[in-house]
Formats: sequence, C-alpha cells, structure tokens
Amino acid sequence: MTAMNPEAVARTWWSAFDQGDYSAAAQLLAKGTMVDWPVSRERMESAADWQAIKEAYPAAAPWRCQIVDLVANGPHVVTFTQVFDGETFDFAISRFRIEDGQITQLVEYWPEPTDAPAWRNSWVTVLTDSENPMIPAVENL
Amino acid sequence: MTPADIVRAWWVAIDSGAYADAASLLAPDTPVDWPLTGERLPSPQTWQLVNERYPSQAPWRATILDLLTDGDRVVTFTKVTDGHLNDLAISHFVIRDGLIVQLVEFWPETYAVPTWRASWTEQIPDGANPLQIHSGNGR
Repeated sequence: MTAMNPEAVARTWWSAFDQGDYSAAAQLLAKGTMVDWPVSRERMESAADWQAIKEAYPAAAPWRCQIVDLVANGPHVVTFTQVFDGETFDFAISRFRIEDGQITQLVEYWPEPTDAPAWRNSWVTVLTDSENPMIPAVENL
Repeated sequence: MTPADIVRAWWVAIDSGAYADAASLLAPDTPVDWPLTGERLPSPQTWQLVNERYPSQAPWRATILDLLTDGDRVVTFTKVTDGHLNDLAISHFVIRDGLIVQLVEFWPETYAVPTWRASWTEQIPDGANPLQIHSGNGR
C-alpha cells in the first residue's frame, strides 16, 4: 500500500482532531517527532505528550476544526485552521513536514488576538467577522 | 517573475526600507489584513503610510526563514527586527499577473505557558524558536 500524500495526511490529522480522536492523530506523528508551539515556547517531546495534553485540555466542549486554507509543496504543508470549542475561537497555523505518510516535523502557531495599537487607528478599518479568517462562518458554528 | 519571486521582492523592499517599492507590488486597491488585531489597511498607500510612521527603534531588517509556494499562493515565515523587537510575520499571499492581489498577515505575540500542561512540555531552546531568534538583544 502506498503512503498517503502529504496533503492527505494533514487533512487526516485535522479530521481526527475534529472528531476528538487524538489517538488516531498521534499515530500520524512519526516516532521521535516533536511538536513545537513557538508562541508559548512549548515543546512536546513525543506524540504521547501531545495526546495527553489534548485529552486533558480544559475545553468547553469537543473541538470542531475547519481548515481555512492548505498550502502544499513536496513534503511541506501549511494549514490555517479554525478551532472552536463552543466558547473560544482558536486559530492554528501549522507547518508540517510529511514523509512516507508520517509527520516528521510539526511547528504550530496558536496566536492570540491583541488590541490594535492606537497610533495607527486613523488609517485602518476594522475587519468584520466575515472578513477575518480566524472567525468561523456562522453556518459552521 | 514567479509568485515566489514577487514575494521575495516584497521582503527585500521591506528589508531595505523601500516601502514605496513594496507597495507597488500590491495590485491597486488591495487591502492588507492583520487578523490578530482585527485591522485592515485598506489600500497599498495606507500600508505604506503605516510602515513609514511605524514607531520602530531603527530600520526594520527582514529575513525570510521559510517560503512555501503552491500555485498562485505563497506563505512566508519571516523574522522582522528593528534591533530591539524581534517579530515573526506569517504572511499568506495570493499572486496574480505579477502582483499581490491578497495579503493576510499574522504577527503573533508570545504569551506565558499555561501551568496545567507544564508537566508534558519542555521549553523550546531559544536557538530553535522562530520567535526567539535574537534572544541576546531582543525582548
């Protein structure tokens, strides 16, 4: 059987997450792959640590995940994904390296919204929810 | 020029403080969106103005850490520093006919590690963290 292509692996990762099947997602990580979250400077040294965190996460309800965009080139895939637990809107920018159907590198940015600086507010407009890729469309909630 | 060439030219212009050159790579009326602050810079002219007025300590230097291209879409991870602040820009471009027709940029700010999961994580070594490139002279 041929291995899934990198894009299919990344989509399978998010669909396992969307179904709360963290064990299935963790199995896509090659042995020895670490997961890095640079925004909080955290590193999970194993798939087991990643799975333990997901299972212990104080979410309001099971997460729903919706890939907004996926960019793929060779073994590299970047996904932009809305993650929603019924109360909190999260957004993940995930950079995967995928070889032989397994994730061999994963760096994820989970950025938090911040206030717009006042000095430039006369030149900018405010993104509406439908213009903001971090906010799920109402029909997806 | 390929989409990757256009995007490299964008960052080279920013790295040299040539904001007018960068702005000329945006198709007319293309907004630049910064979702983390909920801001839209409605035109290339506005983008240029905001960058020229930015209260940085020194001219920005920009170094692309990674560039991924897929058809007319390009994603870059770029280190941007004024010698004091060390920022990371994650930029999603759509290129058409040699111009940028869509640009969405994420400029993440670091935050503290939630304590509940500390037993399962290590701290990423500074040298391995795209957000902590210059730990010696940075924030």
